[in-house]
Order: sequence, then structure tokens, then C-alpha cells
Amino acid sequence: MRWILAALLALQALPAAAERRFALVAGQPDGGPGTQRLRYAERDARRIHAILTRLGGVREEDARLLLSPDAAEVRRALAELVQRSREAGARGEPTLLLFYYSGHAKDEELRLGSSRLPLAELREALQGAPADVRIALLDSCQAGAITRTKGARRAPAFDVSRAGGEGPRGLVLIASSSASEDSQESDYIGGSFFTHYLASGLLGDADASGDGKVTLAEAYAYAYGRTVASTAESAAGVQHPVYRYDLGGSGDVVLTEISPAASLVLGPALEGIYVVLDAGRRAVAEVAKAAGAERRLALPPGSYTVKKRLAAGDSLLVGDVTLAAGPVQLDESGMRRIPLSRDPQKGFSGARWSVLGGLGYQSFFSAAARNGYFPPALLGGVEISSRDDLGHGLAWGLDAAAGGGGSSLSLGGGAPPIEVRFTEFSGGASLWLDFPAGPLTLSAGGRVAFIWLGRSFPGRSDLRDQYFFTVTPGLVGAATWRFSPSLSAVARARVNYLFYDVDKNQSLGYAEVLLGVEYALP
Amino acid sequence: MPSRSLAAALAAAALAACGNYSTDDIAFVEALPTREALRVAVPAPPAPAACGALGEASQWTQARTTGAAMNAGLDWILGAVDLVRSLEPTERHRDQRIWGPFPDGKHPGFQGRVTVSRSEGADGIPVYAFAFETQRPLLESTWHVIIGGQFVGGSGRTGQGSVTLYFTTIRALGLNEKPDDPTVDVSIGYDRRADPRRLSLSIPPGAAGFGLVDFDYGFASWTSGDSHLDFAFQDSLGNRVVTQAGFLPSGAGRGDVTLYPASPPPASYQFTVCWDESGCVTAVADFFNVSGHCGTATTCVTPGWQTICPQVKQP
Repeated sequence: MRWILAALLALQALPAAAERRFALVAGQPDGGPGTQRLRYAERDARRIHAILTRLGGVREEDARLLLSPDAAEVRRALAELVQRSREAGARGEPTLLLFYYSGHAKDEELRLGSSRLPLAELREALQGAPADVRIALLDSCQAGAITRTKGARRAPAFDVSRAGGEGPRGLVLIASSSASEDSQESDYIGGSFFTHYLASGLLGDADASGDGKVTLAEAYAYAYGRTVASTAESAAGVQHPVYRYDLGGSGDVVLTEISPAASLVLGPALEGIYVVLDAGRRAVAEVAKAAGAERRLALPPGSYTVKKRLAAGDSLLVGDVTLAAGPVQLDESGMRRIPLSRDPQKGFSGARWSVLGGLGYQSFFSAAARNGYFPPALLGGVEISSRDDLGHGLAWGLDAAAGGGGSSLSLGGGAPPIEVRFTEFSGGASLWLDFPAGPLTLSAGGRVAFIWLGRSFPGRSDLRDQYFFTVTPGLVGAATWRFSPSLSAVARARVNYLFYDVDKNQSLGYAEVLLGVEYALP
Repeated sequence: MPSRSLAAALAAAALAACGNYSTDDIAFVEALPTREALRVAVPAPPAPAACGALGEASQWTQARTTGAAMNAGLDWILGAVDLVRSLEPTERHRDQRIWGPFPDGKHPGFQGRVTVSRSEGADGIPVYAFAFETQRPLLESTWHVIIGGQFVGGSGRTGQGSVTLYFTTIRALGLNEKPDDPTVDVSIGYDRRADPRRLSLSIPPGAAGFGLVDFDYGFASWTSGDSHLDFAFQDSLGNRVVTQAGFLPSGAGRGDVTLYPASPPPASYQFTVCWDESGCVTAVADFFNVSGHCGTATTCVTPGWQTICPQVKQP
């Protein structure tokens, strides 16, 4: 492998700005029946799209970001970019077409929800595309199958001698894992291993030559090495990115250019693995730094936290940096030492947000409470929730509901019943664990709610309106059936405790059942 | 969870709980007599009409006047009841509600409070004891009951009860509002469990008040609209006139009157006067013509008066 990488690195890089570049970037967390929803496929796609348009010479109008697309959408977008690259080529512009995908793949097909895109079809489409350079970056299980062709080479040497006066031409296929391996995500880094290291490399850590340009070869070599190293001890086994590299012409392809103006600079003296976290404490780049060389990370302006794990293994160095227009040197002496237990990296990133709307029914358990105080009520409610934000399988949500009902109040002693109009408003915060089983997910957790209960007495202006509010702790459970990538049917049940203390102290309980539809936010 | 933690959690929940959501509040208020229950509702006489030779029925207008005077006395109770209805209880106990103390706006230096207590009476029917007390907080710690009562049943609309206005205390404290307020305690009763619904106001002998002479006044009403008032008054000649007036829903009615001359007692005369819905006398049965409906005649009896007089209900 080393001689291959050395050969790649030996290629002379050409400036990215010389080409008209087109990029189709897709992230599909849903692989259809029999697959588990990926947590970070869409985030992977967003990261690569942002890097390509910011540093990779891809104009916004020439980039397509597809989140949770089906195969038809991918085909349409690819056909459109192929056509545009053909038009650009006709104008004499050198062209590059890059296809990136993060999602499920199996049986030599990309699995896009319930639809399929055969790898062979994708390969043929790229082979036939008129762009001078066509690149496919596939971050999915068993995607290495795309590199198989008749006489395919798993790690081919490419013909450096073909390099001439013209720029590179040809097809490069890179997959995150071999045809028999699974690609792995990491909750800790908040993405797939391969894309995380590919992104880190493209931001600058792969610039082995230190010329401010990250070539395709540098990026691959970097992502390969870091992915293999990071997955070597994972439970799922080591993951080996593979490639098919049929590139002729002279030089290599520059994927990103690291502007010296706005960047985080890690000076020659620094050594170790540095992780850069964004304001949400999620990893955006990682630098494996050897002493003696300088590294630049071309990060967008903003506030970041940099952490470095110390050799002792039980502590970290942590520091904050703010990037604006100019380069900022990372000063390790200004970083503070904290125990490993206070690792600022949030992990479990890639929160999935969803909104639930539904109708429900509420009833108190005690017949006396139902008949004398709080009659059954119909409810309408909404809930916004975030999954995997606090931990794998752990979700939290904020809900609000309003409802009411009518009944009559019997006081006994010969008093005629009094008509009652009952109103309720509630808002709660829930924390629960999800237990996915295919398209069905069962959930269980706790909830704390604020509840306001009121009643009025129509036709009895002499009786004052009444209200009661309190905080009610409780339990929540749900069954969620996903019937499309973004829509699910939800049956949610809540059991809450209510302490009533106006007439006399009473411990009451009530249950709510809510049926609704949940929409997963993109 | 340790018991201490559980107690702390319950205490936190209790602190967070707030409101006036009380079924018992409604029960206490519902047990109080309503304005409808403590109201003498004699039909209103129409505008004066051109009546025949027998003239107008003064018994109707006198009944109306007496009813208004009774209502003025009943307003003492209704004022206290309205106060309770308009405010949330200050204290809630399992079988008791207390409103106040609050300053007496009409009488500086005084403060008042209302206490309603509940107990279980015969057959499980709730009994509510009512007390309106007053106090001069700067002068004494004693609370004086000025209105006390007892209400039986869950609803003042359909229950029964009795109330005493302690005018001896009211006057002793200087809280009486009018010179003609009673000088002794006045008892009021009501029973609205069935037709006829009854309301009584008893002023002991020798203790006039509210503009009324001493008498056991009684008012009865039926859901059909019929009504009946027993009342007494002193006419301009000093005679004591006791009347049992019955009314149809239209206002037409009959008055059975006993006249006690100012002198020479103890003679008394009885006569009957009947009137139509216009207030004009239609028949008289006055064998001594003390009613004055027949001028100077010695007798005043309308032929067929028993047929002419409306059939009013008797309580």
C-alpha cells in the first residue's frame, strides 16, 4: 500500500480553479426494509457539500445536495450535472464531476429508501459521463463492489508514465469499505469514520506536501490511514477503504485549496491528535499532527473548541479559538488541562429532530376525580423531539397540548347537577429511550409536565370560574411505525401523577393516549 | 425512594400546585339560600284603571307594599350571602369555609367574617351552619354573631333553612342602619323542597321593624305562578288589618281580611274582597261594610261573590 500512496503523492497537483466542477452529494439514512436507519448519513452529506462549495472550487449553482433522496432523484440530478458538464466541455472548459454518497449499500446496490441504484449502473453512468475527471466517493457498506470490473484491481498501480502536458482525465472510484466489509458510523465523532476523516483531510490535515492543496491522492491516503487505524479495534472490525483509480493525463486532482488567510494553524512544535469541535461541541475536523510540520485547517469563521488527548490517557488539553478573517495559531500553552471525564466533545451528534401532531384522550384513574373534579377530555397536541442528541437511543421532547370536555357536577343532597365546561392546557418535557425493531420503534421514559386545568359553569354566572395548575411527573411510552423515510404513525401513552390540594390533599393519576403523525425534519 | 425524599417530592409538588379548583367551594356556596329563595314576589299591580263602583283593590297594593318591606329585611341576609358568593374563601377546611376577616366598609372600626360549617344531618343530607360575625379589632377580641342560620340540603334553591337576624346585638353595636330596624331578633325561614315554596318572617309582639308591625308573615309561591301572602299592617285610623291574600298568576286574587279596630278592642270584623287582573274589585263579602267599598250602605255583599271570586291556592 505504501508504494501506491507514494506514487499518488508524487503526482503534481493542478490548481482546482482551473476546472468547472460539478458535485452531486447525497445522504440517505434510510436503507429500506431490513436495514437500520443511519444516524449521520445526512450530516456526512452536508459536511462534504459544505467543504466542496467552500474549498473545492464547486460553485453553489453547480452543486446538488440531496438529503434522503430516492434512486430516481439521484438519477435525475446526475443526468442534469452530466448534461451541464457536457455543455461546459463544449465550451472548452475542463470539467470535473464528483459524486458523493453516504448511506446504505448491499448486494451491489445503493439502497435509497425503498428504491435501489445498482452500483454497476452508477459506475457506467460515470464512465460514460463527458467530464474530464469523474470521481465517485461512496461511504456505505460493501460499496467496494463498485471498484470491481472485469480485470479490476483492488489496489492498482496507475500509469504515471501516461502523464503528459494535459491535465488529468479519467475515472476514480473510492469506497469507504471493501465489498465484504461494513462501513461504520461513530456516535462519538458524529459521522461515519470514512467521511469524518475524508472531511478532516480535505480541510487541511491531508495536505502532506504542505503546499496548501489537498489532492485526491492525499485525501484518500489520509482517509484510508485514519479509517483503518480508528476501526482497527472496533467491534465491527477493521474497515478498509478501496479505490479504482483510472486517471490519465498529467498531475493529480486538487480537491481543496487551503486558504492561508482564514485557517487554524497548528505550528511545527505541536504533536498529537487534535480534535476541533464546533459551537455545538461536535467534531468538525481531526488532525493527526507530527512534530516538525505545520498544518492548516481551513475552517469557516466561528468559535471552536480544540481538544487534545494527552498521552497519560486520563486527561485532555482544551482550548477555545475564534476564527475570523486571518489565520489563528493554536497556542497549546493557553489550553487548560481537564480530566477525561469532562471531555467537551458532545458525541452522539447528528440529532434527529421531528415534529409530532396528534389527537388524544385524557382520563383520570379515580372515578371520584373524573366525576367530581376532572372529567375526561379530548386533547390536541404537538411535540418536537430530538433523538440521539443526548446519547444513542436517547431522545428528549417538548410537548404542548390543549383540550377540554363537558360534564355535569353532582353535589348530592338534592342539589340539581351543574353543567361544567372543562378546559386543559399542558406542556411537558420528556426523556425516553428508543428500542428500534425494524420499522417499529418502542419507546419508554419519563416526563415532567406543567398542567393547567380550568372549568366554567355555563348558565351559572353566579359561580366563579375555577382553575388549578401544578407540575406533574410521569412516565411515557410510545410505539412508532415508520411508513416513509420522514413520516411515522405514533401511538403515545402517558401516565402522570397529580397532587391535588385545594379541597383536600389527594394523590391522583391520569392517563393520556395520543395518536398522531410524526414528521422527521430534514 | 426514602420516605424523606418522597415527602420532599410531595412538598415540592404541593408548592407548585395552585388554584381555586374546589368542588366543595361550590357545595358551600350552593347550600346558601339564593336571592330567589329569600324574596317575596307579589305580582306587580298594573297601572291604575277605571274601575267600577266597587273601586280598586287596596289589598293588592298593600300586599305589594308589605312584600317590599319584607324584602328590605331579607336584604340583610342576602347582603351577607352575596358577599360570600363574590369572594373566594379565605380559609378552606375539610368541612368549613371562612371568608374574611375583611373591613366593614359601612362601619369604620369594624371587620366582618363569614363562617359556613358542614355536618351530616338525618338521612345523610348535609346541614350547613352559617354565621356572619363582626368584631371591633381595636377594642375587643370577641366576635359577635349578627346573622346566624342553618341550611339543610345541598342546594339553597331546593332546600330549607332558617336564619336569625340578631338585632339586639346589631343595635347594641350601633350597626343598625335605619331607625325602624327591629329592636329584637327576627327569625326568617324558608322551605323550597316542594310546592308551595314558603318564606316566613317573624317579628315578635311589640317589636315592629322594617316598617312592619309585629306578625308572623308568610309568603308561599307555586311553580304555576300562584302566590299567597299573609300579612298585617296598621291603617291610617290605627286599625290592625290582617290579610290573607291569594293571587293567580295573572294577578287576579282574593283577600280574606280581619280588621281589628283601634277601639273598642277586642271586637274584630272579617270580610273578603276579590279583584281582577286590572286590580279592580269584582266582588265583596262584607256584611258590616267595614271595607268601605259600598259607600254608606250597612252591608256590602256582591251577589254570587263566591262564584265571582277566583279560586286561589291555599298554602
